[in-house]
Amino acid sequence: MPVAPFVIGLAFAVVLHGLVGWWLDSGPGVASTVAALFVVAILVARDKPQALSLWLGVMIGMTATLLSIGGGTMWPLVIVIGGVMTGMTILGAWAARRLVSLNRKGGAA
Amino acid sequence: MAHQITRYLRTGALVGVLATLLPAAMLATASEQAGSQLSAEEDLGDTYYNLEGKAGRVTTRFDDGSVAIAQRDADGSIRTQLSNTDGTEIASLHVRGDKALLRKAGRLPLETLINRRRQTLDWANVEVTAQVRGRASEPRSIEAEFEGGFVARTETKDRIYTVIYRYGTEVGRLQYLPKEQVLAWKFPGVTTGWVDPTRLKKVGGWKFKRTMAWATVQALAFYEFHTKKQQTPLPPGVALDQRGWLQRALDAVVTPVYANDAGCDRLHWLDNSIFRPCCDDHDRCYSANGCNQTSWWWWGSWSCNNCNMNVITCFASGGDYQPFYPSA
Repeated sequence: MPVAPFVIGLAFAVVLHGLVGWWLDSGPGVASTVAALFVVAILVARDKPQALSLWLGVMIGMTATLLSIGGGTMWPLVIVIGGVMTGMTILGAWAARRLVSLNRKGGAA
Repeated sequence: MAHQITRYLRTGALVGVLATLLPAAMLATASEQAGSQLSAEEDLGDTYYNLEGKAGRVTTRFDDGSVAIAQRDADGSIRTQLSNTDGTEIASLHVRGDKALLRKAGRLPLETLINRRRQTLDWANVEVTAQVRGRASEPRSIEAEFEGGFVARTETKDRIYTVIYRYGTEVGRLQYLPKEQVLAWKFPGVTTGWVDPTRLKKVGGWKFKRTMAWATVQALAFYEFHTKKQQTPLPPGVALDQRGWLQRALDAVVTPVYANDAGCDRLHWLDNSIFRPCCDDHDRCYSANGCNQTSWWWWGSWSCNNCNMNVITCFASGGDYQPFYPSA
């Protein structure tokens, strides 16, 4: 598994919490996180293993942050919902990157 | 001894609820008999009106966009102004004793007699609107400014929701669900809990109409009375911590969240979504069964597992699932 995307994902989750607080507590927090993660994923997730590695890093960083601030009474749901949202964002970024790449190849041919 | 302590604590808990919630209800019963001679006025008792009397200004917004602002003068009289959506004054009302002077825009002042023993600021706002419109209007929100730096804001849609601030900082909130007749409140570090008709059965259930104005005063009551209660020491030999040693050891590692945040904990961006009832039901279920965040993974009661399964089902089914939760 690629290490760099994992570390970037981990750092992303921790730094983002420092900047905007717990991201799932507000609409702007969710929007800014999804947008920022999409950009990071476009730059980092060049293939499936890298996308997966990035997502795992984000998830572990997010879970550690959640536990450090107190998970609340629905923490497993928070992790699942956060995981689905970050996963979909990274998947979307990877798909977008792939689409652009295919278009470029098609144009070059 | 343990039995005595448990009994004391139970009694204390009941007294706590009675001290903050039920005086109004119980006094309402006594005065309802006398109230039949006072037109349709509902008397909520001296405790209620003493607290309401601490309000210096109440702003009521109505469904049609009009705004009424009532203020209490030093002599106890009430002045209220009604404005339309663009801020133009439509009418004013000055209530002093049993007389009221109504001034409508473009009309001569009209003095009327008020057949009402208890005159409150929120009532004056509703009254001036009724005088102008010729019918009662439904308040959409109430903001009451009390002495001591308290401001309580109450709104309603499918529920009555009040948040109370002191010098701009939130000190607590409560919500009343009319359909379920459930009142839940959370004042961090002061008091957290809920009551429903089952719990109130011991005192005869709800005995007064639950309105936005009541919720506004009730929020102040919770804070004031429970803050005073906390300053009263327990008798010697009675300890507050009733947790077992294993639970205490566990709690030392993972801080338990007995008192939930209002709404969806750590998912507050969903607070105004269709998932909100799932979170509220889960909070009530946790409160009723003494669950905390460790109930998800620590081997505990089946009731807590039931709470957790219900909230998962509720989220998975798009928020429209109404779970059953066992009452305490």
